[in-house]
This record gives sequence, C-alpha cells and structure tokens, in this order.
Amino acid sequence: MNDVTAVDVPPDAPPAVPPAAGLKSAEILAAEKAVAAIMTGVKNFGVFAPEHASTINMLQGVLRAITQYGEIFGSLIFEVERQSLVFQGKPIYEGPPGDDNPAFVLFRAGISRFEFAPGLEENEVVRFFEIYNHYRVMADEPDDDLVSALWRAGLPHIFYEASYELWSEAETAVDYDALSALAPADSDGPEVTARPGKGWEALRVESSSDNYRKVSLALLPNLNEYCALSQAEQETLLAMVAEDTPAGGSEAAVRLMFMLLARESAAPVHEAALGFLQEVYLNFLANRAFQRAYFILDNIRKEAMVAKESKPWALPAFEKFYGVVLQPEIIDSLVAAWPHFGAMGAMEVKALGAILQQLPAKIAAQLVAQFNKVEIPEAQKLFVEIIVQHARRDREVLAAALHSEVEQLTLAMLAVIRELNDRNLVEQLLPKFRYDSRSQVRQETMRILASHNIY
Amino acid sequence: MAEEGYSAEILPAEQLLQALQSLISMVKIYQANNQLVVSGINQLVKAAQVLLAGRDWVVVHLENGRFFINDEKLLRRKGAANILENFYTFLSDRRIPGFRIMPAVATASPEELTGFVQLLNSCGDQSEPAEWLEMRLLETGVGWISILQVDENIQARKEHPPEELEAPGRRYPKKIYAYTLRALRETAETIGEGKRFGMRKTGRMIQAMVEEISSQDSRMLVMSTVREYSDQIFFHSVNVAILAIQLGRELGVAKDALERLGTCALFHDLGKLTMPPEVLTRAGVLSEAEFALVQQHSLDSARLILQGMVAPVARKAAIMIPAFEHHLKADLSGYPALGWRKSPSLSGRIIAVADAYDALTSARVYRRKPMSGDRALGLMRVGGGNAFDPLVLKAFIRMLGVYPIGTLLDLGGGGTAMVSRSPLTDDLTRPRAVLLCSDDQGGVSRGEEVNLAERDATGEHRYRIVGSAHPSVRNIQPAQLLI
Repeated sequence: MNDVTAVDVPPDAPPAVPPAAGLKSAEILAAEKAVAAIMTGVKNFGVFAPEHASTINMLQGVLRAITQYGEIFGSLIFEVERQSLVFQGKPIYEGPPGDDNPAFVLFRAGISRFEFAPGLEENEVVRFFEIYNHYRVMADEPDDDLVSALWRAGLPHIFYEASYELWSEAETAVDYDALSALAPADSDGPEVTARPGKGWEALRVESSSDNYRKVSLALLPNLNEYCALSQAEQETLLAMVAEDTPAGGSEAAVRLMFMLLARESAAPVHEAALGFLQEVYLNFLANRAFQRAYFILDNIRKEAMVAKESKPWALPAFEKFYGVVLQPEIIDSLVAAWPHFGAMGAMEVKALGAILQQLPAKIAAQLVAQFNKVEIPEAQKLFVEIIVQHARRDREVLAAALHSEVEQLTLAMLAVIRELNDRNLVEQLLPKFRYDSRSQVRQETMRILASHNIY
Repeated sequence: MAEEGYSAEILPAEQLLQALQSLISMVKIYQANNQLVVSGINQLVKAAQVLLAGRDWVVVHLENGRFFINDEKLLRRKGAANILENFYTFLSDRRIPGFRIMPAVATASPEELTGFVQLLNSCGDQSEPAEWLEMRLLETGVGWISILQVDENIQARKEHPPEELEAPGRRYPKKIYAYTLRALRETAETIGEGKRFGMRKTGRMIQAMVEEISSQDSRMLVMSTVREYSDQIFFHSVNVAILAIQLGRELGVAKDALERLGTCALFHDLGKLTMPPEVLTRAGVLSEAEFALVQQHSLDSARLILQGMVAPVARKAAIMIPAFEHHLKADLSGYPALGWRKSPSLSGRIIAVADAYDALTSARVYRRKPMSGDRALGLMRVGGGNAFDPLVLKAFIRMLGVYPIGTLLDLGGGGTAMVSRSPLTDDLTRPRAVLLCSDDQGGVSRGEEVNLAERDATGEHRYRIVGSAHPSVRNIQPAQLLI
C-alpha cells in the first residue's frame, strides 16, 4: 500500500524550521498579505468602473495573494468574530464594529468561518465583492441577506460556515411528542365527507371499507413495469427541468396580473399588479422584447378603458403606470432601439411600431429628430408610418415633420396635408415650400396649393 | 500545515466520494448516456486522476466513522459533511469496508463506470455484499476498481480511537423543520398585520432545507411525516416544501431552482389565511358557494405574495406562479379557470403532487382518518385522472417507494415495523424498516433496523408484508421514532 503521509513540498518553499521567537511564520505572513489584499478589495471595489486599471489591478492583486498562499498552504481559512478576523487563533484583521468593518459585516450575517480554497478564480472574487457590497449596509426590510446571496452564487472555491439559528430555542421549540395527527376524540363529523369537485379530490374511501385495502399501490398490477422509467421518459423529465426557467415564469406572471386586474375589486391589488407590470414592461423594453412589452401595454390600455367605465377607484393606479412608462427617458430608449432594427425579427419590429403608435403624440417629435439615424429602408418606412399616424392627430407633429430635412418625411407630411383637405392648414403651412430646394417637394406643394386655388 | 488545515487533496477526495454518491441515485433513474450521469462520471474520473497522480492506486477505506484516503483521515469540512456521512452510511449499511481505484479508471467506458454503480445499488440484498461485488467485478473483467474485503488489513488503531459517528446532522432536520415553521408563522403574522414581509429568514431556512436534502439525507423526508391536526396549514406547508424539494432534487433541478421551488411550496397555501375559518373547519358538506371560496385560495396565495413579498420582480414571479398553479391540474381542468391554455410549470406540477400526498395522509375535517402512504399513492395513481403529471407522479413514487417512510407494516408473524428509509434495491416494495417493540407504558420503542429486501437461503424474502397502516393508528409520530 502506498505510504502517503508526507505532503509534497514545492522546491521553492521555505525550509520547514520553526520561526525564531518574535518572527512570524511564512504561513502567517502569507495569510496576512492575502487578508490585507482582500480587505483592500472589499473597501475599494466599485469605486472605479470594472474596466478601470485600478479595479483590474486590485482584483489581480487579491487573486495573486490568495493563490500564492494556496499553492503552498492550501485553503485560506479564518474565523470571523464581531470585530476581527482570526487566523490560527490570532487576530489578523481588526476594526471597530460597523458597516465599514468587513469582519463585522460577515459576523452580522451569521458567518463564523470563511475559506478561500485553491483554484479560486477572478470571477469568483468579483462576485464575492459584488455580493458583499450589496449587503454591506443592512436594509430596513431585507428581502435577502449576504449569506443567502452567497449561497445562490454557488462560488465553487469560496466556502463559509454560517449559523441559521435566527431565533432562540424557546422561540422555535416544537414539542413533537405533544402533536396529534388526529382530530380530538370528541370532535363531531363523519369519517368521510363528500366534497364538490372531480377526480381525486372527490374520491372518498372509508378506512373500514374493502376499497381502502384494495387501493394500496402495492396491489397495482404490473407495478414493477409501471415504476420503471423508460429512456423516453427520462429524456422528457430532463427537458421539463431544462424548460422550467424564471423567464417562463415572468410571462405567466404577466397573465396572472391581468387576471387579478379583471377579478379583484380592491385598489391596493390594482396598484400592486400595475406596479409589477410596470417593472416587467420596462425590463422587456430594455431587453428589446417588444412583442411581450406590447402585450402588456395593449392589455393595460383595455383594462384602463374598463376602469374608466366601471372602476373609477382604479384610475389613479393606471395614471401612475402611464406616468412612469411615458417618461422622456423611457421614450428615448425606445427610439434608441432603431439603429438595431436590422438585428430584430419582423414580429419584434412590428411590435415596436405598435408600441410607438400607442404612445402620445409628443413621441413623434423625438422620432422626427431621430429619423436621420435610421438607415435601413424598412425601418424608415415604419418610422414614417408612425409619424404619419401621429401627424394626422397633432398639428405640431405635422409641422415639425414637414420641416424635416429628410425629403421622405416632408413628402409624407405633404400627403397628410393633402388628405386632411384643410384650406386653413394649407395656407398656414405650405406657402414657403414653393421655394424649397427639393424639386419634388416644390412640385407637390404647388399641386396642393393649386387644388385650394392658392397661388 | 496547520493540523486542521485542508490539504490540496481534500477537494478531489471529496469530489470523488460526492460523485459516487450522486451517481448512486442518478443511475436508478437515468441511462449511462444521460448528461447528468455523464457529468457525474467526468467528475469521478477527474477527481480520481488527481488523487492517482504518481501512485499505483488510491485506497478509500472506512473506519470508525471516517473515510481514509490512502490511510490519511479525510478531514470533515462542514460543507461536505452531510454528503460524506450519507455515503459512509450507504457503504457501511452494505458492509463494504472500502475500495481501491486504479489508473485504468481514466480509460474505463461510461457503461463500465455506471455498471459498477448499478452493482453497488444491487448488492444490498446479498448476504456478503463486498464479496459478491468483488466477484461480479472479476467476472466482468473490470480493471479500474476493486473492493476491499472485511478482513483486509484494517484494524482499529490506537492513534485513531473509536469515535461515534459524528451526528450533528441528526439534530438538523428537526431544527430546520422548527425554524421553517417559525419563519412561516412570522410571515403569516406580518400578512395579518397588513404589512409587507421580508424573505431573509425564510430564504435562509429554505436554503438550509435544500442543503440538508441535497446531501441525499432521507432524514428530512422523515420530517415530512410530522402531523398536527389543529395547526394544519403551517405543518402541511412545511411538509409540502420538504416533499417538493426532495422531488425536485430527484429530477435534477439545480440548487437555486430548488430554493425557489421550496419557497413556492412553503407559500402555496398562504391564501387559506384569508379564508373564513368556518369554511376551513366545516366538517359537513360544503355548499357550492363555500367551495368557490376554497377555490379562491390559490389565486389569493399569489395575490398575497404579490402584495406582501419584499423581493425583486423576477423572484416574486417565480414564487407566485407555482403557488397559483397548484390546483390547476395537469390538463387545466382544475381551478381557477384560466383564460389561456398553458400547462402548469414543472414547479406547479411538483407542488400539486406533494400537496395531494400530504393532504391524503393527513386527517382533515372532512376525512378524519388519514390514509397510509401506499394507499394515498395508489389513489393518486389510479383515481388521479389527469390531475397529476404522470411522469412527475411516477418520479414521486420512485422517490418515496411504495411504502413511504413512516408507514406501519404488518409483517405477519414477524411483528410490526415502521418504514425508516427508502429501498436499497430496485424493488420499491421492499424498503428498510425498524422493528417496533412494545414498551412497558403501552407505547412502542424502536428495535433493530432491517432490510425488507433481504432473502433467505431459499431465495424467499425473509420478511412478509401482510398489511400497512398510517402511523397514527399506533399514535406514533415517525420523526420521534426515526430521528
């Protein structure tokens, strides 16, 4: 049998002699260096942008220090106390209690021991710092905490021990001996009561009946055959697991919100549902999922119309929704999507167009201003259609677009003016276009003026 | 190196043992070419190669509650303790003292590797499992692993005094259960006060539950048998969370998704908190109007989560939906009626199965006597119609076995036993059980644990199962007896 009692020592490791009195061992020095780098990291992470040289250098320094320790001594482990980090029984970092003391922050989260294992990678360090920074200051209504976030991150080379004893024994004691699975002996009621409903919920089997004995799974014919999983079934199960993603949940949640809006008759529910939909809508816009965003916008429009008719108490919630989603910066981000037109599918483009058409006319002014940036012919065509829709309803939009440098847009507005057949409008807007430098614009202007006998 | 410092070999040693532990359950469900199995095999081979560097073999042996890797005690790291403890128990249950891995592991085919694990799973009903395993390996010409035999140079050493199998884990399931119950009660109280509820404590407890269950520890499953008639909503919700997470794990759901699943399951009946108490406690027949109130509860659960839960939108959505779906039924014929056709999510289908099982095995106002686990499963299988996803139900049955943990078994002349652990072999009707002894006070105490799959010299099962019953007939809470 192999005798592996000695650890292989790298050739450049320091000689294994005990340190002289007053001198620290190489291990402690290496640990101090690593912990100092980590402490610098937690304090400075986020001060500069990720691509800034300071950030890059800092992260590399942290990783280097921990890796150097790990190559010789294995995992870097320290205990966490209220104000200090302890290595091999001695404090290696100390500071006053508070959000600025990493030891305190970890201690407050319930962490008693922390380990960086060999093989640590930079992305794990980054993630750890991100999580630490996020939870460094405790929120009033915490939705989460540092330990939970670390758990979810599942960093493969970072380990910790954390207490989950968030209550005292007295607060959580369950006297299992005192629990009773059955109703009190003197309680009323038949053994089994029928319930409306169908399927298994309606089935009732009294324990005294023959059916009770016969219903056991053990008596199922061909039980072994039933219990075996075929290859096809295994694959189906795997596919089910793979498909069960949070993104799918968002879509279902949207439909659920509309169900609540339709069925519930309390203002707080409407506020909560519309607040939820607002966030999801903005997320969809940010991710250019315009079909999904349009679904929300269109259905909210319908619900808002119902509210006007029969649920006036819900109107403030709708107004709040529109107040947020129609903010100029939101509109700007929509318009900013146009340069990416070429990468979007046809249905997404159509949905984006539908969203823009639903928005108030003032958006058209932004579209007019952005028109120059749109180079793809199909996108230009859709842009023009949207502007035309708004221009038909809004004179300011019409005037702004008419004065565009883009000939295509000016001609489209001339067509709208022709269609509107309003002499006053013609008199007000067109005369100067007789002298426009673009021949087609001049010709169309003259035709419209002539049709109204204006020369 | 500090005495309790972790050497560079700790991680590959843990990874090797963890990979074997994971493969043990995976090969029961999946074929050798399944990606989960392939991933487990790769981890096993990779870890073995690291340990084999410069060596002719790696020996893993069990002694006095600890693993030894090449005669070096494997230090117990908290993060891996549960999994290793359970693998230790798996091997020691089968009286397998250890094994030796050779460099040929690098060139062994996936079929060879999974074949070994399948043999491990099957050896449980042999009278001499280690010997039987070694013979099978020799017969099939497997060259990458050999099984240590009981008398092979392993003796208690003075420098490693016997230590009790460290069993802090045995305290954890009860604590986790109690704390999760507390977290749910606090959430309910906060909802009752009209306030929003944070997820910090609930999140931590569900994560602790996922960790405990992820160590393939059936003791958490034992806790799902806890029953309390007068406080049903809370105990039921914790039980459904345990069953759902356990089932999700069996299906290969990732840890973070298990947390979401467990949280949905814990909150699935929050809506019942807003139901009129007289409807909840009505023993007689419900009117259609009253049943309509009952049917409202899943939508109300979603509403309470929407309005009350302090969480980002994406997380809220992930928790709300399965809670909303759990009575929809797989064919959408349940409630509430949807205005659209979309099958329930996997989480919704899992919770539906777990919810029904716990309900059937609990006493309710409308069914004073709970059903035994095998009967509840039988009813769900035969009478469920399209209520349950058939594959999810099958996976649930495979997970629990035909006689789930806590079921009382009448062994005829052999006395009475309580199912304590899942079957060791593929025969789902033959779990492990503890024999029950009557004590002087008219109660029962726990006797030895037996493997009901064991056969005698004639090849017949040593124990006959004549009948089954719910543990409440003997006034037993299985968790008190089994943990």
